[in-house]
Amino acid sequence: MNLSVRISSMKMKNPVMTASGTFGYGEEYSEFVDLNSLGAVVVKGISLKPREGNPPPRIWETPCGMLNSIGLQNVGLEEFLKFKLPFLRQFDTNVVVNILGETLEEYVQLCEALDKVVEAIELNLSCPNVKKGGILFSEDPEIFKKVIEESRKKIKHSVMIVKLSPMSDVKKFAKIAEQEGVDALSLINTIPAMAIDIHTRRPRLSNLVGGLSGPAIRPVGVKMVWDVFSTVGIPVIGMGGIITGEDAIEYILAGATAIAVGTANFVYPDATIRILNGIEKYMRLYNIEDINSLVGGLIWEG
Amino acid sequence: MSRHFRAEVLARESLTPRHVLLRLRPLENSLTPVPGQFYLLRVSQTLDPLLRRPFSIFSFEKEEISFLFIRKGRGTEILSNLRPSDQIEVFGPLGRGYPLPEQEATALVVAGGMGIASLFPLLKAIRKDTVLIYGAKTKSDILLKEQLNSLEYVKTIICTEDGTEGIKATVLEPLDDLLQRHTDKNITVYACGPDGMINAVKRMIDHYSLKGFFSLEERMACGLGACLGCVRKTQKGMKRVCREGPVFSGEEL
Ligand SMILES: Cc1cc2nc3c(=O)[nH]c(=O)nc-3n(C[C@H](O)[C@H](O)[C@H](O)COP(=O)(O)OP(=O)(O)OC[C@H]3O[C@@H](n4cnc5c(N)ncnc54)[C@H](O)[C@@H]3O)c2cc1C
Ligand SMILES: Cc1cc2nc3c(=O)[nH]c(=O)nc-3n(C[C@H](O)[C@H](O)[C@H](O)COP(=O)(O)O)c2cc1C
Ligand code: FES
Repeated sequence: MNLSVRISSMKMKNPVMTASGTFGYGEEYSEFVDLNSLGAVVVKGISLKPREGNPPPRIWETPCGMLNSIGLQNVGLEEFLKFKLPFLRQFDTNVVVNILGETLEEYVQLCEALDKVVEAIELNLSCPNVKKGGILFSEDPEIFKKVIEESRKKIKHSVMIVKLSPMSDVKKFAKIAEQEGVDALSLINTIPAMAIDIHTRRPRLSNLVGGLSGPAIRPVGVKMVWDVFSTVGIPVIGMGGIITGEDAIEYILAGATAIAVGTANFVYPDATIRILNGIEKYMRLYNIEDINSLVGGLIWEG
Repeated sequence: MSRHFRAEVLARESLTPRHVLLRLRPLENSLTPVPGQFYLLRVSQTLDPLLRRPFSIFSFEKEEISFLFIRKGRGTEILSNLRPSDQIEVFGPLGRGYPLPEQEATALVVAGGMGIASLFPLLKAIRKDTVLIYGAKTKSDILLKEQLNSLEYVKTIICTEDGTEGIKATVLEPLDDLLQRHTDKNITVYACGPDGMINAVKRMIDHYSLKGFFSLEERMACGLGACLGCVRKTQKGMKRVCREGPVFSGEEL
């Protein structure tokens, strides 16, 4: 049975990755998950300088999901390279760094510093551009195109992944990314959402708005992966509410070459391994020799 | 030995209509916790509620691990309906617990409401003369009276806001009273309770320049320090309650 897949030039022993921000820097989960058995570890979004993030409360549980407003807290590039990366390098797995910036220049500098150092760089563009009045990089096609174009120039060796926001026209933005030479796309990021305590009339999150993740968003993610898969030719990494191997297969049938596990890590600390076992079980059940034969395997007479 | 294991419900006892003691038997070898550490309990086999609920270790013996909680919302409601021989997924011990007082130091323990659940195992572990100031809103919120009486080293001062049990006061009045009378002593204060109480106790021990340890609560997802969901602002920036806490020293806060 072949489980190995490729995201452009990045070879993975299986399609299971972790979703940025839900698996720390890998070390936090290494007691429960043999990191050698993962296709790739995607770390918490890194910025040039350490960031403090939003004040608490930062999370709120919703039906089959959760809101978070971590606000990009991270250790910063320097500490990541000095302490977090060496830990991950003890394992035989790919390291993908999710990056976030406040300005175009910050993305470009991060790409320059990380190129060749890690197997892949994932651009999280759902961040406010402080120089353009706080509009998200993922919101405006021109800004989106520009940041990708400039970052692409600096990424010469690593695989370049762009993470798409579910708030945009994903087909349109996927096409722009493909035209700018991006190697792969990942989606979906969390969906902006909010919750109110009706007794105090105050927001549940100190930041008012947070991102919805977990099983509640899975059908949205599956649809968007299908949309992107049927629009572009570059590989797609699917995520959003994957809890079981069956959920992962659903994304693969919708067109995902690899999948990422996010909120599920909070439900089961060994979620990634359970999902990997579930994928294998499905393949045995249907005598699937090669996982790649399932990618985009949705049957539909439309 | 794993920190993620299944356990069987031995008993679910109602201490009052709102307070539940959940006694579990781990089905695998589990690690021994220190007082102040906590566990995440999976409340449902389904995906709703999705997240695990954090509870302080209340008591730990070879074949039994138990939690004391108040029914608050959906998660604790489901937990309070568990029956003997039901199985549940347990994740822990997590976080950092209370350090025991140093050799020469005397411990002064301040519990507000459910804070007693986290402090009770500490009271059992200290094994030298200790004062407990235990406050709650009203008589029916004061738990474990017999068990506290049987702790030979512990002198308990109970206070309720409405005066229906013990003295009519918050924990702050007897605390201030004690500290004023014993300024010369080497005292370590331990506190667990609502944020308002924690802040007031912290101000008081700063005023008397004492050492203190405080257990905080924050909403949690991963329990491992990975999601950054449970942070509190401290002197040294944002700290994760599940990893650097839940017990923080007075200097840190
Ligand atoms: C380290 C730690 C130790 C704790 N120990 C105890 C204990 O020994 N006994 C006890 O009665 N309670 C304890 N609590 C509080 C307990 O976790 C909450 O009362 C419980 O999660 C409420 O769940 P619910 O579904 O019934 O309530 P809901 O209000 O419906 O919960 C909604 C969401 O908010 C979270 N939440 C609600 N209140 C709290 C809170 N105070 N702290 C953290 N998350 C909260 C829930 O986990 C859930 O995700 C502890 C909390 C922490 C952080
Ligand atoms: C607590 C938390 C933190 C996250 N942090 C990041 C981040 O730093 N960068 C990023 O691109 N996505 C981040 N995400 C989004 C996830 O990577 C993922 O896209 C999303 O949660 C959907 O997947 P899920 O439903 O499996 O969690 C975060 C999600 C959560 C829940
Ligand atoms: S609960 Fe995830 S970091 Fe504390």
